[in-house]
Order: sequence, then structure tokens, then C-alpha cells
Amino acid sequence: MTVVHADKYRKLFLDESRRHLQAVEDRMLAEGDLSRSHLDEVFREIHSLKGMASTMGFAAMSGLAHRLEDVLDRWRSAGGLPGARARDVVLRVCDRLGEMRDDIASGSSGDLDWQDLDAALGEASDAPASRASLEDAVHVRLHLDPDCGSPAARAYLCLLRYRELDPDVESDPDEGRLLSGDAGQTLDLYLHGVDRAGIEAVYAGLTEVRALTFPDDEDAGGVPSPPGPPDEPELEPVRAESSGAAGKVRLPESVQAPVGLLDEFVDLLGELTITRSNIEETARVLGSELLLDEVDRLGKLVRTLHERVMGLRMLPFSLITGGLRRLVRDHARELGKEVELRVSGEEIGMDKSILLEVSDPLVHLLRNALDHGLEPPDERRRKGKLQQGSIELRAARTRNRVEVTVRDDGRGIDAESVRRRAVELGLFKEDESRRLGPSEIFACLFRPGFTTRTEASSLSGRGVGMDVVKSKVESLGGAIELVSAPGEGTEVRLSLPLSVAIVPVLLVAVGESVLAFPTPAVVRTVEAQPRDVRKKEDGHVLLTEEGQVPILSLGQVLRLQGRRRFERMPLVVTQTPRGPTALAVDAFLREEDLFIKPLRGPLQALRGLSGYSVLGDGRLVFLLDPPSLFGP
Amino acid sequence: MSTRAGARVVVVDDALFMRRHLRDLLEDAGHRVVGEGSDGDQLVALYETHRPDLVTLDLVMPNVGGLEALEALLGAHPAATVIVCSSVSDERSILEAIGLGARDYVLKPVQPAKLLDAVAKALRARG
Repeated sequence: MTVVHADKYRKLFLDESRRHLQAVEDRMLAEGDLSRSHLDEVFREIHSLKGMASTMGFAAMSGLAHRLEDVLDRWRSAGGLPGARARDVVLRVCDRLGEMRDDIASGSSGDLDWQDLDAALGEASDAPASRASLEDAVHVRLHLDPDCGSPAARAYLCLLRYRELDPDVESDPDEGRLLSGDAGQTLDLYLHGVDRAGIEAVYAGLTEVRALTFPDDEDAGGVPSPPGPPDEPELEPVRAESSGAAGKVRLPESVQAPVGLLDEFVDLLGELTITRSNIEETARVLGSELLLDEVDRLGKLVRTLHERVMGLRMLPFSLITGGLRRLVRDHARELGKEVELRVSGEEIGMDKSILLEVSDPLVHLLRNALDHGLEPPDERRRKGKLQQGSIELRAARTRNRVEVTVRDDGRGIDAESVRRRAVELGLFKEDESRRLGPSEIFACLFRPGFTTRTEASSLSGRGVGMDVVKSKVESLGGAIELVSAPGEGTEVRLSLPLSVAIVPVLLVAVGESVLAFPTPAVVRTVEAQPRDVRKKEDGHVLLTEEGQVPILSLGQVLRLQGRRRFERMPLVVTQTPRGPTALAVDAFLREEDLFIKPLRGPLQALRGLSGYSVLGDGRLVFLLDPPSLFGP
Repeated sequence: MSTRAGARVVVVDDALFMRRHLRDLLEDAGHRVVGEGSDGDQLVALYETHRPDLVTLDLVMPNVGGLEALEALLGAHPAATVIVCSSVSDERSILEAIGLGARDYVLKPVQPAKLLDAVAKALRARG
């Protein structure tokens, strides 16, 4: 054992040891009962003293301190707290340790006998625990965030959380002190009959708590501390994964599942969702709050399961970009055009069915860009453009959609000639058409038969098949938009849902019907008061922070019976190609997850509707597609 | 692999500014504010209409205060999850709200990370 005799530590040792002993004496002489944390504190002081003494080579002092430490430790692990007699023993030991210190201070080695104390210590260590309830208590210390604004409130919240785990949890500071606003940066808890995993699980749910420690562990190592004040132990947030030894068999981390099985999961989830709705409906009929709460929980589980399954179905966009790259390269060569295809967002995940279905429309859009968008190299040169054209294929994730964009820097489309063509085809009257915005004009390109092979070259082919692309995208629950500027290029944006089938909706009543708004399409709901509404010559508008929003009756738009005069008016504000629109309904019903089935056959032609579902009570509900409610 | 979908949240605060601020913070993080109220007396009705995953509740409001509203809500819907959003000078009220069963609290001015942490953990606790 290395013994440090250097005099420079001597003074430090003497000062520090006096401080430790003083702290222990103060604690032992303090009024009132000792708490667990006091006992821990005393243990730390003695432990530090022992460490210093042994480092300095003062054998008697370190021996006695070690003996006391043992006793203190036994008290702690037994969950007992020292009574008056035991405290008295501790004080006698401290006196002796003090004498040893003074002996050392006078230049000696503090080699005083302490065998007379050994028996007393032995007796004291066997003293029955004064509080049986602490016998199996686990001591937990929560370290609050330093910038936690209200330590008392935070500590109180922590205490309540742990009380859910152990109704008899004790705390320091206790509840009364916390409620009077008295708290420091740590909260000590004594929990009974709980394991560490449970304690750590609760900790993981706490906020503004920096760390969880088990003070009983910290000093158990018995490593002598260097001279100096007992430092706060290094704190690390405890991770919950410190479970015991793993079995010997190593399982693979992933298994393969046939793709068909994933489809089956989605169908089963649909059934599960509908069954949940049925139970909810029954619960409403029964008027059972209890059952409704359970159904609520069930709904959460189904939704989580849905997310997980949908997650399994996610495939990266890169899966189809390889083929698209090849297509562009080969097709450009056939056409004698030079092009650079830039692809981004290949890592973006998309539901497998959407990914596969969107491939055809993308092929079409890329071919269009090559055939009709990009100019031949000599024409580009003449126009002062780079000889090599550029096409960009980009996928990006927004909150709950994936946006896929195809953009070229070719000749673009002249909105004016599209407008004239629309008038020619009788889609709009001349004056009407002049009020249209560019996106409304370009939307005409998606009309079936809008362009023909016989017309002027500026439009030639650009619209061919665009109606097919549009209906494909919409059958996936997506939307399509085209913007273009002559000479600069064209950009087609597809906005696709992340997943299929189960859609969160807001149910509303219109007359006898129930209709469902996909909640992502709802900007907000408003119970409008008369003062929120203003009458203008062409109808009513809703006054909002962002400006005036036109109000339309959803019943009238869909030609359903619904009320036409409104006092307190439930409005659903939604985004349409005309901008934000407030749709008046008869009542908001509730929000729900619906398993949406696609419309088939002639129903597909219904404007503004994109699917249907069956409610728990057997009623049919149509899913609205607000963007297409007012479509051309 | 998949991220947890956002929560549906009802925000009750008498200050329009705070409602906007909370809405922006929550929606930027992928949650959805499905209903907003400016007074405590709207809380129960908002909750029953939207059945949100979570409510953020101001404590000091002109007509019916947050504590009263909280008591009414949890009386009718004990499973409701409420995060109190109040200023530090309300410590007594915050302690009282916690005693009434508020899941968590966030002090104003709201630190986005703390709000979102509280929301995420409250959601996880709902399971």
C-alpha cells in the first residue's frame, strides 16, 4: 500500500477530518428524528474520513472509521435508523476519532486504542430497526434540472408519480414541506417492495429531472476517496435497459415476412378499427364513461399497432428510382436529348402499395418532361440555356404526407394558351376564365381530352395522359398540382398520403347524413358566432386572424338537405384550390379513425368524395376530399 | 422505424398569443391542435367533442379559472391527460393543480423542448 507522507497533505487532512467529524456530530446532536438521508450523509462523512486516514497511513484512525462505517452501513441496509443509544455510540466514536486527529496534529500518528468501543459498536449494530416499514425500502434520489422553474412543484409531481408505484412511499423533503414550497434540487424517496426496473420506468416518464441515483450504491465500493470534500458523485441518467444477463441463445434481430402477410395485417387492422367503433357506439348507447375510457385506450392501441404495421410496410423511395433513372437515360438517348437527372429524397419511406402505384404516374411525368418539356440541345443553345437539360425528381416528407416532385427546366407551358383552350372547349366563359389563378388554369391540363394531337405545338402532348395520372394519384388518396412558366420549365407536384386505409377523420352531420373530413384536411373548426360572420354581396365570409374566409354550406355544395340559415354555425375551415374555405355543417360529431374503402364503379365519379366507411351503428359515411369539392 | 403519430391536443388559454404559440410549437412537432378554448368553462365541452389525447391548460383565466376547469374535467373524465401551462408566480396554483391530477406542468415562457418532452412523456404514460 502506498502511503502518502507528504507534509503538504497534512494540513489539508487535518482541516478536512475536523470538518467531517463536526458534520457527523452536528447531525447526531440535531433535534428530532434522523431520516434516511441523514444517515446517508453521516455514512458519506465517515467513509471520506476513512479514505483520507488510510491514504495518509493512519491505521488506527482508518480502522475505527471503517468499523463505524460498517455499523452505519448495516443500519442502512436493514432500513433501520439509530435511536438515542446508538447515536450516543456514534458520538463516542467521533470523540475518539477527534482525539486521534489531535494526536496526529501534534506530530504523532494518532495510534490510540479503540478496542473498548468495539463492543458498544457491535451491540449498536444489532439494534433492531426503529422503523420496520423501511426494511425493504429502496432509497432513490432524483436530481431536478438546475433550471427547473419550480422545484417544489416538480418534486411534488415526482412524489405523486412514485406514489402510483408505492402508495406508502416516503420522501425527503416530505409532502407537507413540498406543498409549502420548500424543496431543493434533489428529492429523496424511500420506496417499498418495488424493483429497480419499476423505479427506472417511472423515472423515464418524469420531466425536468436530470438524473436518478441510488445513493446506497454510491459508497458501496469502499474505494478510499482522496482528501477533499466529498464530491457529488458523477451523475448519469440511468438507462432502463440494464436488465440482467441475457440468455445464451442469440436470436436474429430481424425476420423476413412475406409481403402478402403485411397486406393481411392491414385488412385485420381495418376489422379491428371497425370493431372498436362498434364497441364505442355500444358504450355511447349504454352511456358508460368507464367503457368509453377503455374504448379510448383500445383505440390508442389499435392506432399504435397501425403505425407499427405501417412502419413495416414502409419502403424507401430508392426502390423505384433506379428504374426511373434508367428510363430517363434510355429515353433521352432515343430522343437525342441531353439530360441530367437529379434524384433526391431516396431515403424517404413510403407505404409499399403507394410506392408501387406511384411508379406509373412518375414514368409518365418523366417521359412527358423528356418528350415535351426539354428542348433539343441546339434549341437550348439558341435560347442561351445550358445544352444539357435538367430534370429533378424529388421526394420529401412533410408532416403526414410525402411530396414527390418532377421538375424540368424545359420550355414550360404558357398559361394564356391553356386558358384560351379552356374557353374554346367551353370549360369556362371568357370573363370567368380571366379571373382564374394560374393553378386553376393549369388544373385544366388534367381534364380528360383537354389536349389533342392536332393542336398547336406549345401544348402538344403536354396534357396527354395527364388525366390518367391525376386519377391514379387520387385513387391513392393523393393530390396533384402543376405549375409552369414559359421558357423556364414545368413542375408537377404529387402529394401522397404516408399510408393507406386507416384515416383519422372528423365526423360532421349534414341533414340526415354523416360525412367525414380527413383530419389532415381540416385547417380548424370554428363555432362561429354572428359577430364572426359578415355578409358580402356574393355571400358570407368568416372573419379570422388571417383574413376573410368565404363560407359555403356543405349541404348545398353536395346537394344534400341541410340547414341553410345559421345562428351559431359549426364551420370546418379547409384548404381548397380556391384557398381556405369555411364549410358550414349542422353539427360536429366526433373524431375517429375510419377504415376507408375506395369508391368503385360509377361512385368514383362523385365529386368531392374519395371513399367510404361504415360506422359502428351501421350507418354509411362518405369520406370528403375537400380539394376536389370545387374542382373543375 | 416508424415514429409515433402526433397527439391530438386541445389548448385552453385566454391569451390568443399563447394559443397561437402553443399551436405552432405543437404542430411543428407533428401534433395536432384539434380545439382551442379561451376560458375554463369551455374545457369539458371541448374535451367531449374532440376526445383529445392531451389538454394544455392555463391556470389564470378571466371567467372560469384553470383549477376549477381541471377539477370539472377530471371529475367527468378521470382519464383525461392535462398539462398545466402557467407562470412560475403561480406556484401555489401549480401545486394545487398537480394535487388535482394534472399530469405535468410547463412554465411560461414556454421552452419548446420542455413542452414537447412533457407532451411525449404524458402520451407514453397514456399508453
